[in-house]
Amino acid sequence: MSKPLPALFLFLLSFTFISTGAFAAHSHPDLQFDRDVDASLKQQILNDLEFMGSLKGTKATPLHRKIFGKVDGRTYLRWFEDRVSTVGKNLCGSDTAVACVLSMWPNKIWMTPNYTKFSQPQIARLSVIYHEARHTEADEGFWPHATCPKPFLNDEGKDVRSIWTGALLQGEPACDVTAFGSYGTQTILLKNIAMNCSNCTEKVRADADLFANDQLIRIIDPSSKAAMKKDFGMP
Amino acid sequence: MTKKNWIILAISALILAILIPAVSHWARHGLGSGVTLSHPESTDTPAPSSSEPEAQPSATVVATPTPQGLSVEDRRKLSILNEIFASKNDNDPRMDSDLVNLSPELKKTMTEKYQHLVPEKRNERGTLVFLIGRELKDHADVDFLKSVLMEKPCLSLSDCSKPVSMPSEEELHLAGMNETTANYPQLMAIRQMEKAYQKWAQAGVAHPLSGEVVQALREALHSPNPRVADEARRALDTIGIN
Repeated sequence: MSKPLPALFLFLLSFTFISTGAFAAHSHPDLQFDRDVDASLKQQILNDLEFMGSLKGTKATPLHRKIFGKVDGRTYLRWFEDRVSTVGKNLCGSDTAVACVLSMWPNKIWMTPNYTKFSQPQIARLSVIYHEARHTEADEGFWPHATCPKPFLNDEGKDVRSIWTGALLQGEPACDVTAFGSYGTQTILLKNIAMNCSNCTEKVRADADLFANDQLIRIIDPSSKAAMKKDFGMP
Repeated sequence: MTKKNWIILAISALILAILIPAVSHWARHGLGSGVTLSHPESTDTPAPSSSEPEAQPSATVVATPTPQGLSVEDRRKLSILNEIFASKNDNDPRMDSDLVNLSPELKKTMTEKYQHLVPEKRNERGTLVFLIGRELKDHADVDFLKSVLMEKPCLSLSDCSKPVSMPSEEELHLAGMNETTANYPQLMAIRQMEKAYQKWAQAGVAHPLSGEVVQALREALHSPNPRVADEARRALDTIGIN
């Protein structure tokens, strides 16, 4: 056998591995789980992300296109996996938290047992981990939240407060100025699923709309809020 | 090249054709400790979130009343509902394809099922409200939604009877999501009544249940739960009734 052919074979073989590796990095990346993440928690996260990866949409709002791109499952997964490579388990300093990020561990999201314990609509719990994924962006300073104004009033002119504890949100770091922070990103994601998901059940779309409205109130800059409402076609 | 060389090249190409899908499969399903996400192929129908969409209902999740007097078709629908609850997959396409045209008997069983579910099952309870509310057809349906609106507020997602302690910064961070979940059955009830009213209005018919729906929403304005009262006010404003 002449020499060029084995060389050609090796070249093609190595090209095959390189190209499939690159393919894996774009379409089939790994998500690592710490060993202490329960099997049920891991499975729920994977199931939920698989659901996210299945979504299809015919159009997207301008703000959604800026943050995510199309309403499309692969786009959503790539966006998530560009930010989160590892999942750990943590109580996140709260009895009621579902997930959090800790800036010392970039590209890592921490999930609490509440993710499986609480009975939440699927799109709501998924939106929480996308909210947290936005907080992993170190080059954006982790998109810190803004301090809610004093007084912090809703559209009806009433104090925004926790209905469980009565605690006022004014003065707390639980708001955003920009539409591109974690609250805005979560709201834009939910609204677009509500409006544009073509293979979601009616329940998923209804849930997405319901939970989006909850997050919109956290956007305190009038121009940002107006831009979001315009983006959603809201009055 | 000689004929022999062409044969070797063809065999090499064949090996590559086998290797490419295999390596692609390993990349997709992983060889190491990492867990790999699968990316379902494009589809125009909702894909199940669970890798086991036919999972059997869990006894801890579903409290199923004895479906006495249900037809075979109703039992099939109830079985589907139980499977959806067990899978925690809100995007199960059967939600829209099979759990429709509910008979009064099945709705009654679903109402009883709602009562058997522990209050902390907010999504399951809200799903029942969604399904019955999607097909408001008689007084019993509206009565069910009214009874949901009159429930005591759920004070925390881990135990509806116990209020959460003073919130930490982390709790305030996403407290709104938890609070919306806590009120999910009630908020869904209001939204389904609003949607039904709008549908009847658009059809230009004076539906016999319109008055009951408006009355239920007006009563919800006086709910001790501020979230329910606010949502009822928003719904009444939307449908143009003050």
